[in-house]
Amino acid sequence: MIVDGHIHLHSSDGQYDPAVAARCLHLADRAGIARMVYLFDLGAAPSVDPTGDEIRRSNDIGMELVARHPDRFAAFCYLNPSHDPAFSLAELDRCLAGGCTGIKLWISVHADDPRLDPIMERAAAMRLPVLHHAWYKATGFAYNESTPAEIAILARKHPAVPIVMAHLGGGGHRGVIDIEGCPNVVVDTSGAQPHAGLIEFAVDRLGPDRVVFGSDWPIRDFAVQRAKVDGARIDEATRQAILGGTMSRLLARAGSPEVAR
Amino acid sequence: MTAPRFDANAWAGTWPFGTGETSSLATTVAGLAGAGMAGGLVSPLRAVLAAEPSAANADLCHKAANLQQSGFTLRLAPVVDPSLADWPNQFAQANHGAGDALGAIRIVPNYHAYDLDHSGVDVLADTLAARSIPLIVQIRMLDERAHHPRMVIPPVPVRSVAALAQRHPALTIVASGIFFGELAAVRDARNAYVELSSVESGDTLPDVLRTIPPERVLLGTHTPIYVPHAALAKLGGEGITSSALDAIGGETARRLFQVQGATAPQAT
Repeated sequence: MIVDGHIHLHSSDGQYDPAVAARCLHLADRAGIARMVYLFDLGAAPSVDPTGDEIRRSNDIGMELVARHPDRFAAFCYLNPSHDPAFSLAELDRCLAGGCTGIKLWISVHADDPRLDPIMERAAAMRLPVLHHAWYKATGFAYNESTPAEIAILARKHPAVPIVMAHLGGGGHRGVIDIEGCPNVVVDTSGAQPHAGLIEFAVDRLGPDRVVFGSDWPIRDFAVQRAKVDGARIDEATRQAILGGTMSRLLARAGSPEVAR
Repeated sequence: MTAPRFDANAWAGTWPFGTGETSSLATTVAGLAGAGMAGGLVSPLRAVLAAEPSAANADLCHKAANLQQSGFTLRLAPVVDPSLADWPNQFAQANHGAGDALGAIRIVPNYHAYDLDHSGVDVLADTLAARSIPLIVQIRMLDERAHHPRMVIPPVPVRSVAALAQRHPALTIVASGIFFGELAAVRDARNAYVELSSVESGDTLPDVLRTIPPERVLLGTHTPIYVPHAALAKLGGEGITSSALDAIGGETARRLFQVQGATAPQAT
């Protein structure tokens, strides 16, 4: 079963839109993707520093996706660590009750900021995976965008939390090396162009169970992103681990529907 | 049955950034064939960072002449730097060296540090148009975010490609390495084609075809820098006819790059 660990939706009015979900499912089907992890909605929470209302609207969409398509979507609770921790933890509780199985952090706060601590401590207590954006950019760094080195600091501070570092294509070789010594961090394959040799490098340095497939749809194309993995020079067992095995285990650990399977 | 796929953007040599991908001409051809390509247009990577590209072109032409290939249609796109005073010699040597395998001339203005309004570009454009040789303008080699942090090379402004196309309506121009968000800048330049290796969106090909008609879109891999399978995965989508897919996947490139046996374009 192919699991895409990194997708968004882009609803035009910031509300759950069945047509947007249907388009996502249709394109995922075409690429052979069985299950997806929704992170946040680009229409509901477009800001780099989302407000509480934006966070709630985006998470409402995730919970609606899980309710309507429990076999196809998992959803992570999107949080902004600059908000009052009481709000963030209450929002996390609301989302967990609504079927969310992880936490998504983007670029509102750097990954090594102590304001992440209450969220990470709750993640550790509840065995929730945390997917955090990261990128090394020669140009165009945005707001409080984290580097993989900052992800490594976060990972060492919270070794009980399974962390998915987003964007192998963005962090590149340096990013892989940054997290090599952090066994609680896996990297997703999303980000930038389909650079040859990068997945092979990540597998070589991190091992076959620390690389997971992520497309970043609709910013990227499901089929193209899957083809990066299909075209990588890796053995078949590793390919299957990347395309779904490892992510399924992460989701199961957090109590997603795969537990019952 | 689909028409043979042809890669409009391939390279041979070493790219010194990233993983330092190295691909001899034989490896490039084998990699493309292994991914399902029946042919490809190849340029020498070494020319991108060379002070003068002729040696890299000559090496590629020599290797192409000695390549044992079976069932793969190889065309060459030597690199010319029209900002150098010796560019006519570069072109003459490349033309002679490639012989019948010459498919196009490629320029890399951003790495060779000139703009498309340089006078040499216009003379080269006239020279190529007179010989029905396409000009490939390499917009970028990599997403600028992924450049070496001390060696960021800005892309060629796509509006300058459109302006060049308008100044030389008899010239066939291919914008290679263009991004999805840049396509609109060449929409109205009817002699400008786009190559898909760096183009991506949520539903790539249908989204591209909302801006550029299928007869001006070319499959390209950017191998060995990119994974060729990713390019081939772009060839699909609702509402795209098999004839449009075949044109994008290879037929148009085979005609532009003067591959023997290429069919004439269909009236649309």
